Amino acid sequence: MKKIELEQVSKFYEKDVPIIEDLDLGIEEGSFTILLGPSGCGKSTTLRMIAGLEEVSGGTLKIDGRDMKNVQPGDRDIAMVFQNYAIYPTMTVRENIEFGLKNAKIPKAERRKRIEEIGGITGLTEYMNRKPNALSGGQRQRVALARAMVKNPQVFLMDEPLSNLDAKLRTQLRTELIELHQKLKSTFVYVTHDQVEAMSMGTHIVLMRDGKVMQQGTPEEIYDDPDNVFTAKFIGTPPMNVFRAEACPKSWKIPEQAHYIGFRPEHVRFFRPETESIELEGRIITREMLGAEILYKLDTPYGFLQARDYHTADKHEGNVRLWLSRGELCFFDSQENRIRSHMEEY
Amino acid sequence: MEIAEKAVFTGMERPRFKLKSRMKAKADPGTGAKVWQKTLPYCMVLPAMLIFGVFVIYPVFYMVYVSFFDWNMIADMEFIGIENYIDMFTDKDFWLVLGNTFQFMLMMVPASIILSLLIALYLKKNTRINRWIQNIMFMPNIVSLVSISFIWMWMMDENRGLFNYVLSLFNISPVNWLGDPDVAMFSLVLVNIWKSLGYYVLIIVAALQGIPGYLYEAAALDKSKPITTFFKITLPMLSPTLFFLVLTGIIGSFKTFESVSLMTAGGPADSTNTLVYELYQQGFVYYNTGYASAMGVVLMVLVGAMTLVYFTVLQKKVHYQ
Ligand SMILES: Nc1ncnc2c1ncn2[C@@H]1O[C@H](COP(=O)(O)OP(=O)(O)O)[C@@H](O)[C@H]1O
Ligand SMILES: [Mg+2]
Repeated sequence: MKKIELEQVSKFYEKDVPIIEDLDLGIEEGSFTILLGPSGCGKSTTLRMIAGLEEVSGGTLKIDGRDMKNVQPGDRDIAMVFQNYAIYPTMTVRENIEFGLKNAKIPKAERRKRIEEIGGITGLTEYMNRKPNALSGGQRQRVALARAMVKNPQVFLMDEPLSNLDAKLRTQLRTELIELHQKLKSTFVYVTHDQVEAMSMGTHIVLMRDGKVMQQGTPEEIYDDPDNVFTAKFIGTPPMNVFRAEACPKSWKIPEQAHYIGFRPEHVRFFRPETESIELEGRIITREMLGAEILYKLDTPYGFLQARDYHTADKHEGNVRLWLSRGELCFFDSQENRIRSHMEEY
Repeated sequence: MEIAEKAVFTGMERPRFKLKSRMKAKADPGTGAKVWQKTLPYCMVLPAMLIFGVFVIYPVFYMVYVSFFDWNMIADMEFIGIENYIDMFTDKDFWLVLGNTFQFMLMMVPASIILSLLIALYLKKNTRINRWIQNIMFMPNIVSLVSISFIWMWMMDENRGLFNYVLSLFNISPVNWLGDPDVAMFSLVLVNIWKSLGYYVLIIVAALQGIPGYLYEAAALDKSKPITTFFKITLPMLSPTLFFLVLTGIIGSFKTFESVSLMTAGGPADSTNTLVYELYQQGFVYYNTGYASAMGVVLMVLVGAMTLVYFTVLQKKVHYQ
């Protein structure tokens, strides 16, 4: 069931400068949906429209099938975690968490019970009487989370909640958020520009560019089956290798309308595969040993490419032969959109 | 080294020492340079410290000193111990004047802060019109209180004033704004509020605009009503600013003088006579210089205490970041 629906939604801050145009988006109930995209593509704006902090300029936005026009942020049964936490600096941790409950006129005994419980979950119990300025970044983030969780909302909205934390804490909180989602079973909408974060946390990814949805689907769909060059290059570290078709030899039997050929670094092989394949030569420029895998950067007659090799015992140097399995190639047309019809041809 | 030090401390025979120290400096550039390095900063702040000493420190100590004498600025000073203070604290006029000063303060400070807070909340949005209103409101602040007093005296004139003219349009009998002992203090407060309102509004608007918008967004998501948001978020966030304004307002009220002197001369029947005006009268009209100095000491203690309160509380409580 769709929890949040955006139909033909647009957003203008200034006349004639659309930030978001005709956006259609459905967010499944209970999903962990990620709004992913480069900085400035309108992720936060979309999230803020869902929250009701930003007016919808055109189209309709529904939550639970109900039009949200004229519904105040406080009445949408949502909670939001801001990038900079937005904790009330003059209130203690407890007061911060309690504020929303008090406003919702929840009885005192119930408030106390919920705060105690949330304090335990977020590990804030011993900091309840502290002011935010006496907390570390990670603790502040937990306060922001606790403040959202304590309201038991149907929908959690999070705008890059981990981006102000150091790498280690970020990884840790990432796992905690996944667990939290599994436990609460509520709908999470999470904004990030970090595709690793998106891939690791999301059950559903919406990839955006310039206020438009480039592709949406599960992490697997987005990774394995990109709809366009943008998606192919945005997702994956390193991203998909993309060659211009005109630079490649006739012998590769590239479909006529294809302008770009893409393949994942892990699909570059240093041995001939069983399946029908393309053979090319390259020169290794760099080699990065990452433990479980090795990343190579290579120069080929058709452009640079990156390769991922899980056979860490093999050491490749200098000029090497490479094979690409034909079935693993992606073709894109002149508009950089995926050509899927070639599947039947081969 | 020894010589160089002497050169600094003895003014006499300066040329000879200077020469020697210079010679020494040449022979041993290390020590000479070091001494110079140490004394240079003091030399540079010396003019400022001299001015501060002559015009601030010295008068304060001199005032305290004079407060123990009977003196009229011409005749010989006669030491009388704490008699001036005894006179003052047993004089009912002093208590009346002190009471008036507190009355002025108690009307002036809350009224100007609450009024300017309300206006600031209205002007918070940084639009062109609001900036204009703010600028216009600030104008009384750059005009001398002397001119302001004269304009208001005209407006408050019992027979030809604007105020009573407007009242007459509503068939309200004229008010003797500055001549009625029950009204005069209120009128003075009105003028002082009018003058300082723009400054208060300016400061509060700046503080309001400094409160990050996301706090209000978080509050909206927390279902907070406007009134709750004001008392739980806006006001606490403004507290350092308001505290500053209250304290400077109190200190300013203690020292209020110009409008009293020009508009009512402390009258009618001493109803607007304040501490500083009485001090001025004692010192420069009756030439009770010792007694006036004792009043000055009391004023200084009051203002000093407020300043102390300000800095102590600022360090501890009102600060939230
Ligand atoms: N309040 C605003 N007024 C005008 N333009 C804005 C405002 N907020 C955001 N924008 C513009 O909208 C675009 C999308 O912003 P945003 O949604 O914050 O991007 P993202 O979160 O994806 O980085 C940006 O080009 C930004 O400059
Ligand atoms: Mg953003």
